[in-house]
Order: sequence, then C-alpha cells, then structure tokens
Amino acid sequence: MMFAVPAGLVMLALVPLIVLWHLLRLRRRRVVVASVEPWRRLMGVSRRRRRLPPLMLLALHATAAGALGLAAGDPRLPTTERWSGDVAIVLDVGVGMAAADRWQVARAAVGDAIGTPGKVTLVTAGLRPRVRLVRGHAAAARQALATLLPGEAGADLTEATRVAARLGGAAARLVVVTDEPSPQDAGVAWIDVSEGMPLDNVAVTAADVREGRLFARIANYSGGPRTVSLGVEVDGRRVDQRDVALGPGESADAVWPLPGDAALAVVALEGADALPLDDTAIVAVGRRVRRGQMVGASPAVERALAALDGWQIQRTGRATYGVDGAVELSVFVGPIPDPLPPGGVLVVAPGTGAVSQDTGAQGETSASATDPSVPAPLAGSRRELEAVGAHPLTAGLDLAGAHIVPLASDVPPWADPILSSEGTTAAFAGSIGESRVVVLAFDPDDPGSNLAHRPAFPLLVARAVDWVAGAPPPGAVAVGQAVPLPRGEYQVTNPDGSVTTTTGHAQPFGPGLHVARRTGSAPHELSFGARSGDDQASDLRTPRQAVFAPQEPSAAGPEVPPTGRPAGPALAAAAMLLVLVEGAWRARPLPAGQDAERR
Amino acid sequence: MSGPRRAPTDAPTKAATTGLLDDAFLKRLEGLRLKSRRLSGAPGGARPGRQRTPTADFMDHRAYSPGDDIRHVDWHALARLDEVYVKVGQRPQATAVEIVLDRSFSMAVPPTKWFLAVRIAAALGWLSLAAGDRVTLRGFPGPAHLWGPMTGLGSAKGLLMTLSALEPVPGQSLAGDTLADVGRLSPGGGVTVIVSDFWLAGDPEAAIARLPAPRWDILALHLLDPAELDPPISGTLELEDAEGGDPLYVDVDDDVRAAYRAEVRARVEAVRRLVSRRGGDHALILASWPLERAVLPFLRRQGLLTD
Repeated sequence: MMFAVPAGLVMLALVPLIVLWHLLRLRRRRVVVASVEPWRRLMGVSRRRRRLPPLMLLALHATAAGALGLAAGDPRLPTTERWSGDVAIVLDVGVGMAAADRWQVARAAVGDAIGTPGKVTLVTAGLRPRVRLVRGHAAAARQALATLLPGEAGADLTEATRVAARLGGAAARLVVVTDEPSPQDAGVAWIDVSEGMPLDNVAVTAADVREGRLFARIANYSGGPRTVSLGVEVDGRRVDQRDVALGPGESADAVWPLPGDAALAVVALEGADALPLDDTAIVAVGRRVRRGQMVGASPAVERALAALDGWQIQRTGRATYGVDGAVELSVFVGPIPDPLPPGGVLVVAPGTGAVSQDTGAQGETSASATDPSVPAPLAGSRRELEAVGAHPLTAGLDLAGAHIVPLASDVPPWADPILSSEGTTAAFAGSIGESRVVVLAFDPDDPGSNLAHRPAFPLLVARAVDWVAGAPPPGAVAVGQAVPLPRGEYQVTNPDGSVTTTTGHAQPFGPGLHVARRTGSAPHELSFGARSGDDQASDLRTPRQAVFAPQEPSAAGPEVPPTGRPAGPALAAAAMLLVLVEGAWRARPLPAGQDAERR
Repeated sequence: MSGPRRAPTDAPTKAATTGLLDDAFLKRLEGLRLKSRRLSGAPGGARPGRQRTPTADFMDHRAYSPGDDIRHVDWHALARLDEVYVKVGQRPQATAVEIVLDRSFSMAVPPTKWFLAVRIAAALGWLSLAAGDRVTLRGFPGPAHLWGPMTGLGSAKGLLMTLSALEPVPGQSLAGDTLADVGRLSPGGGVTVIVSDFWLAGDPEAAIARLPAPRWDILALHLLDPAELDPPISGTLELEDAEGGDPLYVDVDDDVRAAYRAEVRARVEAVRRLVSRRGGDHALILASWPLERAVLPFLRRQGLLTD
C-alpha cells in the first residue's frame, strides 16, 4: 500500500493517545460498598452506564482511530489489472523515438495504456505539446495513434504532461511514453522505450542558407570514430559528395556555394545508422519576390526599402494606389490614405492632427495642410528619440544620440506608441481592420533629424515592414518548430502529401519540404525545409535526465493523480461503522431486571 | 462468589473490652429497659406482672381461694373481719431478650457502623440484664448462638467480653435461620432486637416470618452510615460488594446519585413496613450518631426504651 498524502499519517498519533486514555480510565476507582444491590437496580438510569466492556471499548476506539489515521494518508492499493478508469497519455514524438524499434515499442505501450472503459486523453510531446485527443474513447485514441510519427527536433515532456494532466482530469492515470530515462520521484507511470540502451548515430544537426551559401553541421554521436559520406543536391542535381571523418562526440561544419537561381538544396548522409530520420536536411533556397507600393517621396525611406531582400516596391500616386490586395506592402509618405489598402501599411511623416480609427482621415490641420506632402513640424528644436515600452519593432534598437523633429500627432485608440521624443509620440503601431499599420510621426529627411543616417533607421524600417506585411519563413527549420507566415490563410502541403490550412504560422511535424500556398488576393507560394536532426535529440547515447517537475504548480491544471485504487473511503467508512456499533450498543433496550453490565 | 474474605477494611472491628462501654454509662443504663408487650411469666424480673397474684408486694385483697399460698393470707383482716383474705399485687416478671447481631461484612463498611452496632447490642444487653430479663446474644452469618441465655448483671461482663471479641465474618447475611432459632429455643416469646443494616441476602420478610407471631416483639434497629444514604462518590467506579460477588462497574453522576438515594430510602421504608406488619418497631439509626447522646435518647423518644 502506498500513501498519496503521507503527511496525513500523522493522525495515527491519535491511536496511542486513545489507548493511554482508556488505560487511565481502566484504572477506575475501586470503592467497597456495603451492598451493590441498590446500585444494580439503577442500571437503566444513566445512559453512560450502557457502555461496552472497557477493553472492548478500547479496542473499538483504537481501531476506529487507526482506520481514520490511515485514511488521512490517502492510501492506494496496488492493482495489476488493466486500469479501467480514465488515462492521460503523453507520447514523445522526438526524433529519438524513431531509432531502432523504439516507436514500435512505444505504440504497443500506448495501446496497453488505453483502457477500454475509460476516457483517453492523448498529447504528443514535441518542441511544443500537441493535443491529439481529449477524453475520447479508446477506439478514437487508437485511430489517432495510427496517424502519429516521431521526428520532432526535441520533446518538452514537462509542458506536455501538464497539458495532459489538465485535460485528462484529476482522476486520470497519467502515463508518459518516451525514450528518456525516468526522473526520480516522477509520480507518474513512466515507460522508457529505450530501455537504457545507447545507440550509435550520426546526424545533420543544422542546415541553412546564408548570403548565397549552403551551410550544414554534421555530428557523430557514436561510441567510436565514424567516417560518413556526405552528399549535397541542388535542385535535384548532385553537386558534392565527400567523406567526413568524425571522432566520437565530434561535429563538423560544411559550406557550399549556391548558384543564384537555386531553389532547393538537400544535404544527406549516406550509410546506415540507428536513426536515418536525422540524416537528411532540406533547405528552401529560393526567395519569392514580394510586391509593394509607395505613395509619396522620401529618400531615406526609399533607401531603407531598397535594402530589403525579396521586395519589389512600385511607386504610385494617391489616386492610383492599389486597394485590391495585389500588393503586400503599402508605404505612404504623408497622411494615412482613405481607403486603407489591405495588407501592411507603413506611414511616414503623416499630416498634423489626429488620425481617425475607421477611415484614417486627417483631422484638424494647420495652414500647411493645404499641401499634405509638407507636414507641420512642431515648434521647437530637434528632440532625442527613445523607445516606449517593449515592442518587437524597437527591441534592442540603438537610438543613442538619435534625434528627430517630431510632428504633432496624437496616438489614436487603435495604436500603441513605440517611440517617443521628449514626451511627444514619435511612432506608433496598431491594426485597423485587417491591416497592420505603423506610423513614423516624423520626417526622416528633415535636415534637423539625424536618424536616417544611423543604422537604427533602416533596421526600424525593415522591422516595420516585417511586422506589417509578415516575415517570410526561413529556408530551413527544425521539425516541430513554429514557422511564421505572412498575413493571410495558407494551404500547407506536407512531405507526406497531407494538406493543412493555417494562418499566422505553420508547424511542420515531419522532415522534408513543406509548401505553403496563399490563395485569394495576392496569391503566392512559400516553401521551407524541415529537418529532424538536433544536437540533443539526435544524441542517442547520452541519457538525458528529463526536465520533469510534476510538482511544479500549473497555472490551470490539477496535480498529477497518484496511481492505485484509493482505500481511504473504505477505511473512513469502517471507522464510522465502529462508532455506530458503540452508539447502537448504548441505545439498545435493557431487559428489565437483568444485569446489563455485570461481567 | 469469592472465597473466605476478611473484613473489607483495615480499621479495627473489635471493640476493645475496656472501651466498649464505660462504667458511668453502664450505671446510667440501669434505669432503662426495653419496651416489651410480651412477658415470659418468669419470676425475678423487674417488669410488673400484668396479673394480680398473691404476692408480698401488697396492693389489694381478695378472697382466699383454695391453693393460694397461705403465706400471703392477711391474718389481720381475718381477725377483724372473720373472713379469710389474701394479699395480691403485680408480681415482677422477666422477659426474654434476644439480641440478634448482623455480623456480615457489610456491617463493617464503614467500621463505625460495626462499632456502633456492637455498642448498641452491649447497651441493650446490659440494661436488659439489669432489668432482670433473660438475655441471649445471637448472630448471623456464622454460628447463630453467641452468648446466653443469662440473667442478672452478674453475667453482664461475659456479654461485654463476648461482644468485644466479635468480628464481622464472611458469609451471606441470611437472617432466617438465626431468627428461626429464636422462635424455636425461646417458645415463650419475648423481645427480639435485630441490629443490622438489613443488606440481607434473601427475602427479609421470609426471614422475619421465622419469628412466630404474636409472641415476639420485634425491634429492628436499622443501622446505616450517612454515606450509605447519600454516597459521596462520582465518576466511573468499580463497586465491590463487602460481602463478595462480582464487582459492578458504574458511572455515577447526579442522576444516578439521586436515584440511589431514593432507592435506599425506599428500601428503609420497605423494612419499616415489613416490621410494622409483624407488629414490631423499626428505627433508623445512623452510624454517625453517638450512642449515649443520640441513639439512646432517640430510642426513648420513640418509646422503644422506657424507664
């Protein structure tokens, strides 16, 4: 028997106290009387004299106290039969689970954990936990299990267990199936499919494209030196094949130049090892050219936009700018236009006065508003610039020594200030309907401003463009890593041919090339490669002590319930029954004239 | 019931010979006698006879009847009246006094009750002997006959010595056999003084019925200690009967004590009614009463002792 609340066993201290009390009472005062006859006739007068014999009363009270003391410890009886209650299963889908027969063992273990009468909750543990089934039937759990495959570049078991415990309910038995060794005092059913057996492995742990060159890292997680054959293909053509010799635990970097029109590069290790899944990395090299438009003139802004990679900005006028969504970025020098074009909007040097929320129409203006291309600067000299709050547009931006001539501009309700200049808002950002808008309330070309000549300005413009229009995905990511996508709905075709619809970000769950297609306005296609290799997940020799702390308080989840059949209620009921026995004995009717208490 | 038991207290139960009754007290006792409606007819007592018989104590004359003692003929009346008359009066007669002493262990709880019982028996025996009565001392349990029958103060010392040597004895307090001996061995009747706490085993009525009516005057001196009427005990107790038997476990609270008091009073009243139905007298005497200053005056007020 185990106890879920060992501290409750302190109640057992009542037992010796009760025994002592009874023993003291047993030492009752002995009184010699001339005759007990008159006392014997009074047996029915006091209910207190209807007691059980003293030793029996001691045994009864001590037993009841002992039962209550044990019940306070929440005892659990071990059970070997199939758990018939609810179960919450955490399945590790890290790349290590694909080694040898671990995945087969894991599937079998999950199958055993699924109890047919109870509800099943299934959560996979990758870089982020993913809920597969919430309190469903066993059949649905097996169906979900059949669709799962390992391959993510890591497994966050802690967060996945918290999610599973919260969704499965306090009464659910928690089971973790993983290739990591069980931590001490895990408090849950832990199934280690690796069985502690180290495996040799060589993997591609990183791959990327930088400045027109392909970069890859290969690591040897074997017990001895390994020489592996490394091949590179670009757009389907083998461009390199080399042998790489690595000592045990060593890694090596390799770099290849890429042709300018390269679209797809594949780095692959040849030869068998324990985990083929991390022997390949795919990198989407080619970049789609994104379209934007600019209304008004600002040399500083134009220089910053020209430095952006992957953008084609077309100049247009206030009467002819596109509003059909064909472009992903609209830059306006001057007042915010009406109508507001869809997509991202960057406004530089808007006119004076407030900006309305729904139309972006200009408010009250000064005399210079007759020429909206000439905003009215604030009276006074240039002012120092500083970031406001913590915003991704200004995080880490070096604004020391930068000063501008701010334009009078109130922060509208739909925006948050991101830059200020000695008490005056210099820039703000927010959303108007479907469009994200950043407003730089100053003229970067003003001779009184030095910001355009500092590195912070093009960086600010680049961040503003990424924020309003959405950054393109990197060419290569790890399986399970969230991939940001530009604004809009995308249909992502996965390496296994399945298609998922998503907005905002994609999350690849298997290695290979993923293609995200945007339909509707401004249709385009983005691609990225996902690899399973990771410098920790691919190491199948070094046992990683799971960072697992089930006792950490969860913001919304219950404690992980202990296993075993609870015996506390039965013990408490037994204690109550004993008390009722004493009460019934006292309340029994005494036969007339009989000695009820005579021993 | 357990085996032979000693008296349940360590207090001395023997009344020391020298301390039982002092001489001055005994002198004061000589003027008292037990009330008795029964006369044995035996001469020599100090009780006035109920019949006028020829006697030297002249009270009146009557005509001579054949058989009268000629020593009581009034010769002067014969000379004057030429008729033969005899002198008549109430010839002093004695009565049989049977003192039945309860010697059970309950009489020793507390010891003062036994000591008073012995002194009462001694006092009543002494004054009865001084009155010319024939005194017999009996007891129960144990040997029924303890002393006597004896008459005259000359035998009083023997009575006192016998009483002084007595101790409570084990055994059930069955008075019936002793009282039956009284009826059998003294068929003429008399006064039976029962000195007991009446915690009797068996039926008290059946025991008293062994004294044949109407020849015996019964004087039941019911001795109880104040603690027996109102016990100063409470809580969870193990009560042990002085006369043996299994202990009784009780929880004594106010309700129980009140019920006990009522029970004892009822028992005392039952004994009184029982004795009264037999034509006897009953007196409740508390063991805390001093013998001369409280017990004897009480008995005199009750009319149980006369001058």
